[in-house]
Amino acid sequence: MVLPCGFSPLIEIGSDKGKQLYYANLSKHEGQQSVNQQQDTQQQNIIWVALQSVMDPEVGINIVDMGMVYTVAVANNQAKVAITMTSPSCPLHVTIRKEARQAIMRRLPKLHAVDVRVVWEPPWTPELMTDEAKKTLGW
Amino acid sequence: MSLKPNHRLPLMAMGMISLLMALFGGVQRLGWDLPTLTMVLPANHGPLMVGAFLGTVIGLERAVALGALWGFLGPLATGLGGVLLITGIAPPLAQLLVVTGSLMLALLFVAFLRRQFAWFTVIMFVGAISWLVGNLLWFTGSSIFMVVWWWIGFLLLTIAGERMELGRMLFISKLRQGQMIAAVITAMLGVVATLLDVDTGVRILGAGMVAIAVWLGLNDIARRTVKQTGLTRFIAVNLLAGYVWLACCGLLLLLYGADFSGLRYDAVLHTFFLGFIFSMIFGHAPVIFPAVLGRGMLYRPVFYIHVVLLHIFLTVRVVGDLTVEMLPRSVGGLLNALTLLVFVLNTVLAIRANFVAERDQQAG
Repeated sequence: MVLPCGFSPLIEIGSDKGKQLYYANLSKHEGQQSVNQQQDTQQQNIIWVALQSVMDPEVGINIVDMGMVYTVAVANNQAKVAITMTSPSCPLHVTIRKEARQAIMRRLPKLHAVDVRVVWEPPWTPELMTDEAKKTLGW
Repeated sequence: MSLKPNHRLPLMAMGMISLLMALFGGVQRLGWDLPTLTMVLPANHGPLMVGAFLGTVIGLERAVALGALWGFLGPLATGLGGVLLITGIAPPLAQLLVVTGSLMLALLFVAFLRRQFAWFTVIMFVGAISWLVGNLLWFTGSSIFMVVWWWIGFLLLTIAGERMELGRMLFISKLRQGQMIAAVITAMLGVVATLLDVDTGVRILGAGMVAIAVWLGLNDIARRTVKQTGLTRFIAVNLLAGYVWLACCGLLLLLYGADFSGLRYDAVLHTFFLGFIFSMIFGHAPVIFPAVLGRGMLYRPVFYIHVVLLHIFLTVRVVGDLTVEMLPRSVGGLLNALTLLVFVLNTVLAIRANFVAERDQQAG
């Protein structure tokens, strides 16, 4: 699936609502003029896979399947990722943000910059979870 | 701008020292002959546990969540209040500091609600208000046995709110969500009713507790995640065990009502604070301590040791309380205190193990 601006997520967002949110955040996300679009796309896909290693410890599901990763954008070896948390009062955003950054750097050590931000809009909802996540929770 | 992890260490240290001193005073209250560190430790066991230890740890957790410097004034206040409670210096100032800490926690929740409105956050906000009201009553002269129900309300609603937040992942029906909200309202009505008639109030609180415990036992996400492995399973095991103790506390309140002193009171307080609250702490320590302190903590199966000890020795203690047998009560209580020391030791060792692993990884 190819989205506007040439970004192509490896992971399909789990639901129609999730896709709407994804597109909405994409337009808000800062971007640069890409020099090598193919490389950028490949790196984005790698980042999506890397983020699957970051777990929400309470539920034992990775943050991609949880629908907590809103956007991934790469241009000219600089990555910007927007994630959210399931609760606005949860202190784990510090840990998860750090783990996300480390996971990306392990897979793509040559990136010049990795910016992982926690955003609170739109609010996370369970509809953003993938079918895989729902299956893990016994659906 | 948040407070850097290294600068949070003194706040956490004050909270942990309050815990250790509260344990010391608690063991003295059980009749064990320990050296006198300060004269007030036995009397301040409860305020140290709730206001200084739990208040500081919970305050730190929420301050980190908000990520604003002012949020750390709350745990600073309760931490300092703990120091004064330990020493017995200026008791009114100690109380005022704990009041301040609870006010700051309430303001933190206002900030969270402004960040993103959610009903589960409202429940936790009401919990913070309950703590504040209890502390104000305490500051203005009410006895501990009158204010402890407000402190219980604070912790009960904090946990209920968190579990409702996670429960969204199971797409629980609005009817079922309504049942939980009704149980929470019942519990808080009971707390408020203690102002008019303590006995009636605590029985209503007890009914609310039982309802919350049953709801969580049937609907909490822990029922699904206990089938997983590692840390996720560990958290779930602790949660489910904690709900059993919450139900026990509720039943005791329903059956016996208010007991201002004595063994039933001991059983009520410790089924709640030890059985329920410390189960929550044991389960979440491997994720909360790293988030708050900025230092990783490796989950280890050895953590099950302090979990098992907690439940065994608390059972011994509560059986002693209810059968009016002083030996199991005293021995169980002493071993409860030692169990908490084992928990602290296991936590420190796990943080150290992670530090060594990260250092070796970087060197390699």
